[in-house]
Amino acid sequence: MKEKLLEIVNIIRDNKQLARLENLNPKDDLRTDLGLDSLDLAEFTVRVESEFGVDVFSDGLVNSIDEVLFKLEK
Amino acid sequence: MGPFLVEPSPGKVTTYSDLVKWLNAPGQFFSPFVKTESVFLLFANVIASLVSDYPVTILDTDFSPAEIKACLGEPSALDVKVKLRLSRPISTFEDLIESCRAKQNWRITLFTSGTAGIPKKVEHTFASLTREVRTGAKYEGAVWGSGYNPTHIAGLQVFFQALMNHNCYVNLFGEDREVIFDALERYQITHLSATPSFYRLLIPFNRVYSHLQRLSSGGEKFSLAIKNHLHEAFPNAKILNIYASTEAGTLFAARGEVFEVKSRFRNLVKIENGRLLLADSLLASSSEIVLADGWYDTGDVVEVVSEDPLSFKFVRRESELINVGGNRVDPNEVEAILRNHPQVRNARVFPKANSVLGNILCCEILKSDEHLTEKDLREHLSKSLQNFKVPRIYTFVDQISSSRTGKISRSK
Repeated sequence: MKEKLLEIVNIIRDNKQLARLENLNPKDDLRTDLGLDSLDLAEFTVRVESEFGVDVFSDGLVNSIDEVLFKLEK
Repeated sequence: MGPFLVEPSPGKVTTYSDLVKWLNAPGQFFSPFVKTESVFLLFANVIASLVSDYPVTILDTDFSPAEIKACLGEPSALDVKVKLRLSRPISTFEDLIESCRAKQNWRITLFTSGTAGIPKKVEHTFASLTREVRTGAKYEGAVWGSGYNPTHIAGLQVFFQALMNHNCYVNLFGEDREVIFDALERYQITHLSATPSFYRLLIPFNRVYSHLQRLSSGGEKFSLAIKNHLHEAFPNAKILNIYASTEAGTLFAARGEVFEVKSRFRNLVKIENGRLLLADSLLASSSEIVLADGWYDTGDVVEVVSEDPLSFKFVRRESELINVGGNRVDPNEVEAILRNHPQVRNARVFPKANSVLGNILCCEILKSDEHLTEKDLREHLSKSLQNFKVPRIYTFVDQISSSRTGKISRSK
């Protein structure tokens, strides 16, 4: 699951000409550490939802990879 | 009496004699609420109701049970049959037309595709439906190809234009490229009417069709890029861009993008805050049309080109705008830039609901070069668009989907 999230984050970073990441740290903040703005976050949720069938932002803000994983594992 | 209708797949041709025979069949019934896959039965029922001076309602073939209920109240209305009684005998084409013309107050009810999901009802009379129909010797032998849905106003207008001139109507709505190319040649279509989306489906054209005399495009924003393609494929055809609406019928025609308001419409049309407004006298009667001080807001955003005489360009339908995080995006603008890319044949931009931003932009791309990548497209778009207007999800497809009206679809 974490590998798939890394792949999604890297697709988005690629398109912003940001360097690919080797791995994700559970504490990584989607905005400050991974560099995603609100448009990127919207794309992130759509890609995560089509992969896992869960809208991670449906009931409020999600900040870190940890929180994303928590929503997906619920 | 000559061909009346062609349904290219499966290649069915019916003649005016077939139509007259159908109308005269002993014990013939017709449906005042018509929903049928057969274009012949659709038109035969419309004509039967017209010559009987009995109101008719027509529905799209693909309406869902819920939509049928919303339109008719009671779905069993579709089973109603009325015995056909001709007020005067019809044995020739002239009898038929005379019978039609005598019914100026006959009413036909149509449903627009309705962007909010529920079809909107619009009622026309014979007079309002045929206001722009032209007859005369110059139409002798004309063959009308229509890419419009025959249950919608534009398709019906082409139909009556063909009927009143004793011409043949070729239904091209919903047909594939190859069938359309074949039909243009096989049935020697001289007049072609369709949406820009229909014409885009044909690009690149497989050959030149020099027998086409007139092409008209309507229902969506027309562009000079399409016009250039059409000129190449149809070198002898006069190309017209038509502004029409279900509520008012055909109003303006232009050679390019700029519509000039003729003097007879001068006091019936105005542009306020960039929106095109029409006086109520131009409208069909419909209980669902909302007027403010006698003016109807078309919801069409236009750009004034000159004040006197008034002329304008169509920009977009207001309802097409997509809200992305509070920013409104015109999908037509994004599609136009995508289509400018040399490796893109056609594109469609549409929203996908999203909990972060309300909507995010998605697009479908029909590519003309298999090497084209999502990255190429993002770079191309970023050169001329703000970030929020650049689609985030790209799908490469073999065919671009269109709506019931034959316009580009804005739903996922």
